[in-house]
Amino acid sequence: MKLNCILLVEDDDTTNFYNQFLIENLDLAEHVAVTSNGQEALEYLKLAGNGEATTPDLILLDINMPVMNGFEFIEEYENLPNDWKSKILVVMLTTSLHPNDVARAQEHPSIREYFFKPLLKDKLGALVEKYF
Amino acid sequence: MKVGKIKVFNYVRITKKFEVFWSVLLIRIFEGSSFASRNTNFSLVSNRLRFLFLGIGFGFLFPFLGTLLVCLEEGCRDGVVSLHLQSRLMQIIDLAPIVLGAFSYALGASVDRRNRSERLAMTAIQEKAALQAEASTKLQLQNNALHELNTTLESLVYTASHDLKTPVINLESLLIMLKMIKDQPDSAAKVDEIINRMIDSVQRFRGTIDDLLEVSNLELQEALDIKPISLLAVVTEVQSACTRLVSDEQASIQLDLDSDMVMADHHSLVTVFQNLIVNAIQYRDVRRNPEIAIHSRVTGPWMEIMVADNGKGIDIEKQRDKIFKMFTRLHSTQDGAGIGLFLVKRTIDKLRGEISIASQVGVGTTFTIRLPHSIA
Repeated sequence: MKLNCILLVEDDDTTNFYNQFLIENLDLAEHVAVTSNGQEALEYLKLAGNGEATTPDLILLDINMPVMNGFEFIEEYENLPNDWKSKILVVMLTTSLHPNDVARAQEHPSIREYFFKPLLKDKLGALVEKYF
Repeated sequence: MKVGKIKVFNYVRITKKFEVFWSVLLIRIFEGSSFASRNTNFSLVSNRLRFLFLGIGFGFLFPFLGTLLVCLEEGCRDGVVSLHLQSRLMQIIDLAPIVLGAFSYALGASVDRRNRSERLAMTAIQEKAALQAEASTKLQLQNNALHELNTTLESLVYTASHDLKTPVINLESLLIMLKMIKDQPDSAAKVDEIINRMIDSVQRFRGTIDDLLEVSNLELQEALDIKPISLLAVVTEVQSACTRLVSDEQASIQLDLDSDMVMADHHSLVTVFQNLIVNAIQYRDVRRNPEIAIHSRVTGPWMEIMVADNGKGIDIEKQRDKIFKMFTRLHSTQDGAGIGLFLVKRTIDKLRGEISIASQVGVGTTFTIRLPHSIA
């Protein structure tokens, strides 16, 4: 199964470099969109909602980011119109083992999975198998 | 013998009963009419006197009524005085004011004693409560300080682990990549990039450790060496340390400094200005060359120092809570550990000064520092 678009929301350049490599290597998506914080991701989704950008099937979301972090993003994301996000799967991808973060992620029904970095080839493949 | 004993016993019992009756009566009357006062200092002396007078007054009722009764029954032929001199019974009755007066005085004195001991006990309790309240306030303050320290440590551990983990995870990711592509043909360019990123990650790791050490040094430093120092000397030192960066970025620094001394620690203040100047250049607006203006003026007991730049600016409304927070970065375009402004703020706090920020996105940022002005 090949996805149309995956959106990376991550401020760390090397993480993006690696995730992009992995997606290409597995040939998982036609497009990979990269945004470096929650604010940029939100703007991207608004563009996509208005048909000016490709709507992602999968969002890989980091927590710790400048300007707007992952949780601030998800709160804004939940206010977006339903038809913009009905086909989007949000997966948190983070280094954080902090119990507060895990608990907070569980409070948000739109966060479907909680993954730890680095994202592994098998795990990413299995995720796509499971949901798409 | 037996009979005598019983008689004595009865006598004691009767006087006891009378004593109880009399004290209850008096205390009821006095307390009911607020006659026996408990609360004023005045009452400490005067309860016994008031009881005395009331006892005497009450006692006079007996000879008076006795005389009245005798006179009405038998008539007062020889006058009231001779009646009292002649009748043994009347003489006993005449003793009533003295007996009741003495008894009441003793009773009043015991009420006073009771009041006094109650008051002393009350004062002791109040003093103890005041001491306890003081101790509890002190404990509360210590508790708050500990709680704050604990929160700082918790967030330090959390953010430090995140910031240390990121470069390690990056190294892991890059190694996984290397392993995946090492046998592929034409992978040389990619391998090169991976190795460069690995070097960056290692440097970042080392940088974070240095930053953590700097923070912990600042936190562990008990007291700074606060004395009158020259602001000009501090800024000049920072300026010469940044010469390379300033010329590389084609930046300019303008100084307009008051020659007065400030109360501060030279080394700490160097750290503050170094961070502010490096920030001003690093977060420059790409459309123009960085310009930094540092000027100071004396306002009352303060030396006010303004560091203004024409950089990209910070959205104060949105970022207010994050500006001086440890490991929080405000801009995503540049690398940074998110520690500079945290160090600046903590240092200024330790110097018992104040720092505030004004900024406009696309225009620039001005930090205003206030330090105690040296009168010397």
